[in-house]
Amino acid sequence: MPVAGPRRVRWGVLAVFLTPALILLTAFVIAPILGTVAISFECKHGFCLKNYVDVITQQSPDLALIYPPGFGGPPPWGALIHNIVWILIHVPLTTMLGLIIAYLLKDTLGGSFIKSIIFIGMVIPMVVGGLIIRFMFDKYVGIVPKIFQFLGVKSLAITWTSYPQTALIALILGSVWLWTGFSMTIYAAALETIPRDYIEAAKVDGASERQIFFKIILPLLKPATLVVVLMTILWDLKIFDIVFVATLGGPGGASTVMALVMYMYFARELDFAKAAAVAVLLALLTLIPGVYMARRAVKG
Amino acid sequence: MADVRLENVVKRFGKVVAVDHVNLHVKDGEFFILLGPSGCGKTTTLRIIAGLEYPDEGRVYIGGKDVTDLEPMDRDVAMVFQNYALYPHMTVYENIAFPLKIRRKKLGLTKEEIDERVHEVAKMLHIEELLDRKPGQLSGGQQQRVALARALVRRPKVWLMDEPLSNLDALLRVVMRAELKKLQKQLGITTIYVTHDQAEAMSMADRIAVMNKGRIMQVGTPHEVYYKPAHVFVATFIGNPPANILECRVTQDGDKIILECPGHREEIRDPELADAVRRAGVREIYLGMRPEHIKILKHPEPGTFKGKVYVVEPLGSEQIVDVTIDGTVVKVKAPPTLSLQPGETVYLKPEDWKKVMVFDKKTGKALKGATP
Amino acid sequence: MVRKSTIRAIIVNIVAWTIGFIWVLPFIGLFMTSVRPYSEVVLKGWWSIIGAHFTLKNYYEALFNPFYNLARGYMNSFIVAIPSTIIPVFVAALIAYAISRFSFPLKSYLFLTLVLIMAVPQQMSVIPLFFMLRDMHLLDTLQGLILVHSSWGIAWIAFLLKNYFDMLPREVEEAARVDGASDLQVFFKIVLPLSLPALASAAAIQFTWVWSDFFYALVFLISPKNYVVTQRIAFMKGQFYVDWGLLSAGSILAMLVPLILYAVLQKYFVRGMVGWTIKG
Repeated sequence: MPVAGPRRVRWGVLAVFLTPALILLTAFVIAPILGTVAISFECKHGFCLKNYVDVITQQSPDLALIYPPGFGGPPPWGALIHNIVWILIHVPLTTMLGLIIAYLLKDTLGGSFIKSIIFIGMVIPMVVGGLIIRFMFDKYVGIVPKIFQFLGVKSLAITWTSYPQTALIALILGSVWLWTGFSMTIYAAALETIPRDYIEAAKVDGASERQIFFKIILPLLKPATLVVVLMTILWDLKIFDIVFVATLGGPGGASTVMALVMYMYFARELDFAKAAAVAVLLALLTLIPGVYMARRAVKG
Repeated sequence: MADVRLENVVKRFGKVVAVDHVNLHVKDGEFFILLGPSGCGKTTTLRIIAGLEYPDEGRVYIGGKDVTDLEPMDRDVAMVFQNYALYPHMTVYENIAFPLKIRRKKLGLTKEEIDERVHEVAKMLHIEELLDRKPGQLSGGQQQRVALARALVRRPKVWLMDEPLSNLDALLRVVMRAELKKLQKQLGITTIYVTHDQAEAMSMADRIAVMNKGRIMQVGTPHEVYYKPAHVFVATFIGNPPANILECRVTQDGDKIILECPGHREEIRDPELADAVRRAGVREIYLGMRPEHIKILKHPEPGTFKGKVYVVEPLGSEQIVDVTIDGTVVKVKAPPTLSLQPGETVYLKPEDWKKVMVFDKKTGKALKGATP
Repeated sequence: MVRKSTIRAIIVNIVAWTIGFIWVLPFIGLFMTSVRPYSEVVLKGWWSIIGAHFTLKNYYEALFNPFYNLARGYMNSFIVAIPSTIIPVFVAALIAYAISRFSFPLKSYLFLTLVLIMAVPQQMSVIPLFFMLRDMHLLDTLQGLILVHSSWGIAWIAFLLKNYFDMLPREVEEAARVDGASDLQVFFKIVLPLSLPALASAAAIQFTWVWSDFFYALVFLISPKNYVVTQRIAFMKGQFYVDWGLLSAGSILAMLVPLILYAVLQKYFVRGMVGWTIKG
């Protein structure tokens, strides 16, 4: 049987369906994106790359994208490096945790209840998420420093967000707490689609629980893993709210990120061209996972 | 009421020609069936008539009006889909009323008139007690009736049906065939019905168009397509089991025409057959014999085909015997009293040479049909 | 004799519930801090419940103290989030249906553009938007923010809905067309009602994101009277002294609306997330 493909319709009909979206998208999405690119090349005399050179070589720790003087010691290392460190720690942690939790909760009493609790991190405003992170790591009221105090580790019985050594890692750990609900949900959905027959057949064939997990389930979860990794990278690159409320990039630029640096150029320095340059650099980074996802989506 | 005409209709999907220069004329009030194997283009032809597909070439006329470029909504046809395509979010009542409500202004109907017509058609199809239910709560047979009601309520010019019975269980299907046919005759709506089931086509149609690979092979009454198939494909598609085909050669020996078939060689004595072969002047032919037109003999006689019993399928009132003749399998309907063993040598005899069909091997076209 | 699988099940349950407890702990802490005098929390810790006093003072303070005025923020957030949900869901449904069902020139590029827009950070748009809204006299207005949110919601919602429409059976729409419905009637009377679950998912998630948004509000809303909830929470935190009692009450108030929505529409949140990211 021939499957009916997309069909031609009259232009009038097409216009009704497309016009509202096209107007809004062109005016408030595409035009501003192109505008930002244009602004990023704006100099006193025509177009130039000076803004890009300036933001990349910027050496003020709270605005730097790359800050070599900090290398070898605790942050600041520059916002771009912080984003990369964020990805390097957050992506594997949250991916594995999500998978483990989804797998464990599959046969846990009240598993769906625990799942809904973990998913809450995805639902609350990230501003609140940032505050909770700060709260959990607060010397006086936070439970993490209290635990370290109890264990006798004095150097960690502090307000983590106030010290360069610990601010960035506190934020990253907090983001694991907030974002694991996403990977767990994706994995849980993917696990449900694995036919029971596969696992039962493997059991009959004499495979152990471990073999079943590594040889059958894990390979079948590859598409889900790809989605989780790409979306988490995107999220880590765009991170802003958490940092803004928890540390404002401090202390001394020890926890800045790209999005925050862009805002600082824009709102504090009032240097729109440099702010645009940082935005374009950030957008180029997000396009790496973005293009990958687009290719997958368009291929169908 | 209206007739439907297709002129040189072509539809391509990429490189595949789904409908290949189809010409049809469905008469007003006729029950017309498009019959063919899956992928033969029958459903596409139906969808072109409905306006769901547009032909790449050719024209479509409904009631004499060229509708080729009209949207389905402007054609005044109704369609019953294979999986019924009921609106799952509406009740049965709303489903049936939908075609009326959607063009209420055009039809100039009041709410009361719509209500009346919904109840009228629901009564006709015995689904009055289901009107408040949602399609998800209905059985397959009930859904089918709702789909029929929805297609009838508008009193369309043309009624299109795409394998509407194929999702029903076997028993219900037979019941519905009779009921559908009765309904169609009673209402007199021009009906075009698509099916791959030749038994269904034979039992319901006024006329059948047999399709294969996008082309119409033959248009005729059930009787015509059965006894006078225009093409060897039609002979092998219709009948249960379908006609047996033997590849034969003909040679002229003076006035005599000699027929050479697997396991058989004789002079053609039937004048009609001899005449057809002589006129066509071909060397290679297909001989077509219906299973019920062959007799099984245990002893040789002149003019018989020698073969071996391969399988016997008892069906109760009769049995189907598969006989191999030099590697060609021939199916024969035999009375249940005849006792046969696989491997046994038997002799097949055409009941009557008048009932033997002949086709040109090269073109597949019929040289002679059967006399019933 | 206890079977091995039983022991395993017990261990799995213990581990799972421990993880669940760790995850919920910050919320418990936040809640305990919000309903007790801050001095008591600092002295004893929110986890000690012996001799605890409970009060709603923090909530009252956060909601009605003119410095914070979360009540006003609540109103602003609703005024922004409700239209910023309805508009893009409707507009995106239209374009998603066209992409799913119609053929037209440049369609694949349009779809590609939508997918790429989903990856673009908010920072990429605010500078030109700031000046555009200023020129349109929409800067520092809730209407301006609604326009921005609505426009930026279209891409991802269209993607989600297109995936959903692709899975809807075509026959039902074809039946409606043969029954006499125009393309628009098919869309409104058949497709939209059949897509209610997907529309609910899109609306629930879009509402939550708009409610939770901080960056656009931060840039486009300048006068304190226009501040939405998230802004007010962010600025509640003093530069040097942090009153966690007040902050935790404010945080709970800020997340209450998305949490209630989540509690009611949980399956739509999850389905939406899954449908948006995993195709088909």
